[in-house]
Amino acid sequence: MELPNITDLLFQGRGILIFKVPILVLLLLYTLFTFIVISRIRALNRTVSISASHASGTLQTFAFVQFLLALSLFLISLVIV
Amino acid sequence: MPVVFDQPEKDRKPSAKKAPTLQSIAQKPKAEQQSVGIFSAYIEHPKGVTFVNQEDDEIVILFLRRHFVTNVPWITYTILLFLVPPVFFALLRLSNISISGFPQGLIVSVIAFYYLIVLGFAFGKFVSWFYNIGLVTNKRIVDLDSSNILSHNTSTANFNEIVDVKFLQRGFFQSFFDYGDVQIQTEALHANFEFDAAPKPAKVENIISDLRAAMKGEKNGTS
Repeated sequence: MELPNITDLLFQGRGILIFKVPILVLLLLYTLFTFIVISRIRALNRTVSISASHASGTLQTFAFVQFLLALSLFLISLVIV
Repeated sequence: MPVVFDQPEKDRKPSAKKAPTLQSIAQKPKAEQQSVGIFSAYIEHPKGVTFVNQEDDEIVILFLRRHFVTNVPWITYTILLFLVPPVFFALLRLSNISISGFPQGLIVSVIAFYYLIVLGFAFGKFVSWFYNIGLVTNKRIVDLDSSNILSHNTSTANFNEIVDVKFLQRGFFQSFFDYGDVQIQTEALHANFEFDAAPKPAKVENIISDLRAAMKGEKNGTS
C-alpha cells in the first residue's frame, strides 16, 4: 500500500487548520495589542504635550496605521490561507 | 604694621560669584526659545511644552530625553531582523530545499505578520524613547519614565527636597558623545531621580544646582 504524502495531508482539507488557526489567533492578539498602543499614546500625549512639534500627532497616526495594517492582514489571512 | 602691598580697589574681584536669581534663570526672551523636534534630546527653554499638573506660573527650563545614540542598538536589531527572511529564503535556495509544498497564501501571511511584528518592535522602542522625558521647571523636576510601551511612571520633586546632584559618565561612548546619567538625590522619604543617558550632563547638573541655590537664596531672603 502506498503511503500518503505528508504535505498533502497537512495542506489539504482540515490539515490546513493546524496552520490557519494559530496564525489567525496570533494576528488577532497583535491587532488588540496595536489598539492598546493607540490608547497608550493618547494617554502619554495628555501627560506631556509638545504643541510646537508635530511629532506626537505623527506617532498617533503611525500607531493607527499599524492597527489598520494588522486588522487588514487578519482579514486577508482569513480569506487566503 | 606697615602696609607692604595694597591691591587697588578696581582690581578687586568679589570673593564669591553672585548666585543667579530664579527669575534670571527662568526667564528667556520668546525669540530665543527652541521648538522640540521629533529627535530632540536636549532643549533649554523649550517652546510649547506642557505637562499634566503644571502650575500656571511654572516655566519649563530644561527638556531632556536619552541621547539619540542610545537608540543605535535597537535600530541595528531592526535592520538585522528585516534581513532575516531574504537571507532565510536565499539559504533555502542554496541548499536546494523546496517550499513549493506550502500554500502560497500561508507563506505570504507569515512573512507579512513577521514584518508587522518587527515594525511593532521598532515602533515600541521609539515610543519608549520618545516619552522617556525629564523636565526641569522653575519649581521642581519631573521625571517621566517609560520602561516599555505599556508601563509609564511619573514622579516629581521640588527643589527644596533635593539633597545632592551629580552626574556619571562611563566609558568611551559616553565621553565621546557627551552624555551620562544625572543622579538627583532627594530626601529619604522620596525616591532618587535619575535622568538616564542625558546629553550634556555637566550642564544639566549645573542648571539644577543653580536653580536649587537660587531657590534656597530666595527662601532665605524672604524669611
